[in-house]
Amino acid sequence: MLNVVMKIVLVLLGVALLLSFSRLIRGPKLQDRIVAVDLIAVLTVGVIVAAAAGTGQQFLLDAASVIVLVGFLGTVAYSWYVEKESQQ
Amino acid sequence: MILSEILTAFFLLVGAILALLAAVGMVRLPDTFLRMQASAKASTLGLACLLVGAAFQLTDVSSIIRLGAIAAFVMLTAPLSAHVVARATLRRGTRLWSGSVLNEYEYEPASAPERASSPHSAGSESTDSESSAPGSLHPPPAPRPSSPPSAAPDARKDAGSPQEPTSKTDPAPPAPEGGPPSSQRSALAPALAEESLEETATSDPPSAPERP
Repeated sequence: MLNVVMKIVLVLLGVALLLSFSRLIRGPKLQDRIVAVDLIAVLTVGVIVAAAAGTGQQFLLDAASVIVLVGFLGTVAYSWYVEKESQQ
Repeated sequence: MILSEILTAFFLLVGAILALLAAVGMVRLPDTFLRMQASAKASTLGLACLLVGAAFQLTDVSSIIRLGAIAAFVMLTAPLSAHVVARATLRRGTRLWSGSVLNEYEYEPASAPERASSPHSAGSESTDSESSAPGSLHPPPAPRPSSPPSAAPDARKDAGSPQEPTSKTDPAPPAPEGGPPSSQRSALAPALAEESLEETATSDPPSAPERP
């Protein structure tokens, strides 16, 4: 039962990743792309957590925590640079 | 075991559906702010559900601590990142969606002078340059033909063809006739040319209202 649920969950998360990638590609402005990258980082963490729950590999959670940290710092840094650019 | 599997499946499915909803809102919502709130809220709740589902399956203490750390960090940083992105978007001068009913954070008056000042300054500079261009750049081309080698045939043409309506620019042709004082006359020529331009400019407006 859990295997079927895991396949469904991974398919749903993959579709979500594809949709957010489409927004990343055709975002009309830069801030849309920043938001899309933020959502992609969170979805990647969700995929890793789901895979860890499905396979029982608890060491995947370290990768998930690292991606959470890097995604947040990347979003803040990118929007900071965008704001600095807009102030000039 | 079976109960934990059922709970894991339930929470994982709910989390995946919420993440998919976040992505759908990301694609379908019309504005940056709406996309941002969709992704921030739905993805946070979806990831929290995924983490709870994983916690029912990974019952180790270290795993649960890591899952709790990830959940706490995401719930702390998602509003922060959304706030920073929204501030950058507002500072960038992005307008709200046309269907928005409330703009509580009235940044547009603060940003409108900046945006209006920069186009106005640019516009004033451009208009100044444009206004100075006809006044300063046009007279030099007028006296330049008055230099002896090129203006002499011009004078002959003017003398031979009085049909030209630019008879007001005739002060330029006599300039090449005199050798030494040509510099003075060429120095006077711009003023005369300016006067003629001003005369034409002042004579045009009366003629313009007469036409209608």
